[in-house]
Amino acid sequence: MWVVLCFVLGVFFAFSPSGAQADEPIAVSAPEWLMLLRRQYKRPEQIPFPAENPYRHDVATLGKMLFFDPRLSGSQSISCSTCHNPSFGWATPVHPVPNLDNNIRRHAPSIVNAAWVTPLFWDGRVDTLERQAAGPIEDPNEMNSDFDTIIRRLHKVRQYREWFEQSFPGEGITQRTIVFALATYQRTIVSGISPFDLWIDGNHDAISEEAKRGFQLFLGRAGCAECHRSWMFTDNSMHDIGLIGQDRGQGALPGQPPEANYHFKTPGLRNIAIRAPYMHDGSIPDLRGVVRHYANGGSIWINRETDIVPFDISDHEVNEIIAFLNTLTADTMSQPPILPSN
Amino acid sequence: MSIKQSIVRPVMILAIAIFSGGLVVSGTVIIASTRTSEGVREALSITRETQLLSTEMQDAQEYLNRVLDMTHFETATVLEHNLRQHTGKIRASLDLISTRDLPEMLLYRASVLRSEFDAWETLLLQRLGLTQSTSIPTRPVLDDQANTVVHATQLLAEMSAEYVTSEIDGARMRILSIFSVAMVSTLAILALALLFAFKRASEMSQAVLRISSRLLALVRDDTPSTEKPENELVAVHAALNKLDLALQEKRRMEHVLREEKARAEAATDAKSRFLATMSHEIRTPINGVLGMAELLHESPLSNEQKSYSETILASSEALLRIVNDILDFSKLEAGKTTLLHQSFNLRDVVFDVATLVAPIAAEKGIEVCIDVPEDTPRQFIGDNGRIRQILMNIVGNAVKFTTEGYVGVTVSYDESQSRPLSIRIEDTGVGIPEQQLGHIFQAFEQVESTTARRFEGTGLGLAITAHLVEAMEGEIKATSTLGKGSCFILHLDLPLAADAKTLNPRLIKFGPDLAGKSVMLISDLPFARDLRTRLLTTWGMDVHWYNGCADVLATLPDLPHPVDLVLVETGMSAEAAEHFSMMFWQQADRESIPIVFATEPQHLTAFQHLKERGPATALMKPPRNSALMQALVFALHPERSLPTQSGSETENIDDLSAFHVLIAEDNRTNQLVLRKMLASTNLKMTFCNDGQAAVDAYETGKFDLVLMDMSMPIMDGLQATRMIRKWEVDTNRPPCPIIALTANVMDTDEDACRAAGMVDFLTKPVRKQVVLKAIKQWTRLSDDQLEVGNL
Repeated sequence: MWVVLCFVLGVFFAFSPSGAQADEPIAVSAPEWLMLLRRQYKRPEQIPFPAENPYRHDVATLGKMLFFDPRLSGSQSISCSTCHNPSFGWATPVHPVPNLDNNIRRHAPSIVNAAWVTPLFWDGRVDTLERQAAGPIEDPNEMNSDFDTIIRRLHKVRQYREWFEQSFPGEGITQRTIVFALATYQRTIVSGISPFDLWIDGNHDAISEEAKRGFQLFLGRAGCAECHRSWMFTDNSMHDIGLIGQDRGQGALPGQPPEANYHFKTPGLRNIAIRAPYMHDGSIPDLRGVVRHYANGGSIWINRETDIVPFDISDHEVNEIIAFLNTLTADTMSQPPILPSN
Repeated sequence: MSIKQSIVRPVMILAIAIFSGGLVVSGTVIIASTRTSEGVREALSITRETQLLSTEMQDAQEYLNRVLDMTHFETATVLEHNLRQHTGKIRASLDLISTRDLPEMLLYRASVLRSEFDAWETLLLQRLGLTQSTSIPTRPVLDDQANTVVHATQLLAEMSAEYVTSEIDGARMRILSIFSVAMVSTLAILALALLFAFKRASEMSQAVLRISSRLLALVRDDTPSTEKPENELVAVHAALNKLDLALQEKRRMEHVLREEKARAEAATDAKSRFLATMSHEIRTPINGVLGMAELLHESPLSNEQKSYSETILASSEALLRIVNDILDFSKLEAGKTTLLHQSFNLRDVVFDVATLVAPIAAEKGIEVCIDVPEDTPRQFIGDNGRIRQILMNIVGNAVKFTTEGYVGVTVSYDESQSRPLSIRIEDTGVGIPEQQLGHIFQAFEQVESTTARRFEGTGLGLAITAHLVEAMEGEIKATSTLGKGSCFILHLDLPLAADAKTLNPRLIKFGPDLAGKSVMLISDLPFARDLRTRLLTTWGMDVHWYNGCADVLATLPDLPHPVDLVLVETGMSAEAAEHFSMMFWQQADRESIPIVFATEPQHLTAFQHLKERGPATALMKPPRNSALMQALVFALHPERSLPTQSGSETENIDDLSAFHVLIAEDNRTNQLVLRKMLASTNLKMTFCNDGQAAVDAYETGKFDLVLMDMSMPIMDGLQATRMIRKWEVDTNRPPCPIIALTANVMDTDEDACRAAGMVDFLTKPVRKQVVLKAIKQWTRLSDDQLEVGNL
């Protein structure tokens, strides 16, 4: 199967007319490079699960229900899915609500491909989804709830009781089982097959020539691939990308050195086109702005060393990059669960 | 083969061919369609099963999607159960498909589907957390595999459909091809049968044509008209009509010929019967003439009268011989001869003949030489009387037609020949012209029939001889040089008697006495000299021959060789013999040398007195080998010679007065002949005129012998004999010898007589010696040595 695929790919690249080839340093048709690309952008076939919380389908179903259940919020008006909306790339299209305490506002990050993402949160403060789950629930700026309340509420639901009892015999509804269920469910959320994936798989018509040129820019001059690496387009690292704001990110965490200031987690770019507004603070409304921001080498209003390098780019090329980024969007269908009533 | 067969057979063959062709076609089509519908059913079931499989696959996919949507809670157990149900169904369907007898490709597809399905199921179970693994496949992987499975299912379904289509097409094609093959083979069978039938028909028509053409040819041959027949069949019919007519004519002619043949045979029969009757009728008067002439001859007569009576005797004897020949010939020609098969001594026969002709030969001055080599078998089986007759005829002829020289009889036996025994009779007579050699064996032919008859004879002798030789399945050949002589060679295939090869007892007895002796042979006839030399040499003697006595006397007194014995075979008078003997014996030391003379019978007595002059012996010519040997031995060893019994035989021979003979004879002349013939013997005779009288006389008197005529009034001889035998048995008397004395000379007559109880058979005209011999024999007075012998 692979052999056949490689062969097809080789043939495709060998004969594909590439307009960008002339003025771009990277020879798209080079087979070695293609192989490299193929390896680099190959989608994983398996979703890894931690040994302490292996995948169980009933648990995942429970997790999905909890994920969509507003009873997990203090006001019982929002659920996890309120901000991690599948329709918006498991993010929210609204600007972040300012933090009451420190006026820090962070845009809800996408939870797509969460199984491979670590550390979590924009500032990378936790490393597992089990530990992450409690964060938004208990955050007063977010769901503003606590587990006792949640457990009590859930206990009132007969089916939850039964289901938890069946899924976690002898344990039932506890904080641990709730976060385990949520984590299990979230790990099943994987970005779908996008046109880019199809192209990588060898279908050279899957993306436009414009997008291909954009991808070349993405890899080359724009230097995006420096951090937005691999099939998820993230290096799972913390970087300062030169945004204005008081939010020091990783640097605000206790015990962090001053170099960690303004460092934020590199988000994956899957479904990026539908995840506006962009950046951890949702400060850039569109992708054009994002590309321009990077081309500028960060905000001109800050005065510090950042991890990004400015580059020259025409509007046309920006369009090409955007065209490429659009190929990362996949149609993901997600049926909302039928929640048990009280 | 009959025409019916040859028509019916091709038709039968055709019918069988058509029938079997139909059977083949329908049978193959039925079988093919059955097989085809089975195949189609099978194929259709595959499509049904693949459909079912895709449905199940779809169900499973739908269920899985629902599950993966995670909209409803399901426990792991339920989940697994449902899942297993789905996969179990699919697996069962797959199993079912795999067990089908499907093309390789389809089975391969099914196996691909199975492996893909297995992979999908593995993924599925993993995805649903039923495998306890630490990771689960992503949705796209799962979907991908699901798609692969769906695709494989579709492929399978498509291929099944194709397979069904191809199967149906193939089935149609198969039926079509089978049908066509069957049709072709049927046509071939039909063609063959047709060919065969055609061949048969053409053969038959050709045969008919041949027949008709032959018939036409026959008609054309028969009717010279050249008009062409308008229709062959008409011509054939015409020909058949002609043939029918011809056959009828042939049958008629055959009938006529048969009648002719029967008439001819009857005529021949009548002729033979006439001859037999005639000879019988003639015999009786001759009997009278002969008997009376004999009596007259013995009565005291003047010399002139004696010559008259001699003439009468000779004439009647000649007449009797002629009648006998005619009778014999008629019997032979009628095929009524029966040959005896009895053991006999061929030497006796040959020498008997020689003895019989010797007096005539001596009278004419010719010599009869007999050469029977010692190694010739002695006893043969055959009819000695007939052989004697044959030899007598030929030798008699030879003597008759020879005026000077000799008659030589040479017997030889060569087992390598088909007819081993050959007897060669050569003479130095007048010979036979070449153109006449061919028919000398025909009846009534005499060589000089057209010229003056120098030689008497009926001319029947050789014809009878030829008949007899033919009856014996032998062969007789004659060669001749006119004026030089003739040579008859008789070849016979006679079986040897059991004791045929035994050696001459005298040779065993005397052989050693002769071996090594030196004999002086005087013989003036080269033929006789040669055969004698051969014989003497066989006995181991040294032979020194001389042409004549004069030659011997000329060489005396000094002979170039020793002499133990002199054998003189040259014919000479007693005086010449005496002269020679005296001259020979006068020589020193030779007075004791024996001289043996072989001489003609009439000189024998004259030679007797030579014995008084010295050791001389006389021997009758031609001497038998045994007689010669005995004479030679006795001459050399006088002490071994038997005491002579000569001179005693003539005395008592005629005195039969002690016997009483009953003679039944109706003819007065014959009665007188017998009475006179036997009067000198003083035999007591009682004559009866018929059979009844004879029986009466026999019952009242005492007789030593009965002479019985066959044909008599009142009661014939046979009946009388039977009555006498019956009376003898009734009165418990010893049987008296009854001898037939009759003019009936047929063999059947003799058989009838012996059957009636007679012991001997004498034929009229009867000769005195014969009657006397029979009487003496049967009255037991006679000695067994009756032969007139000189040794």
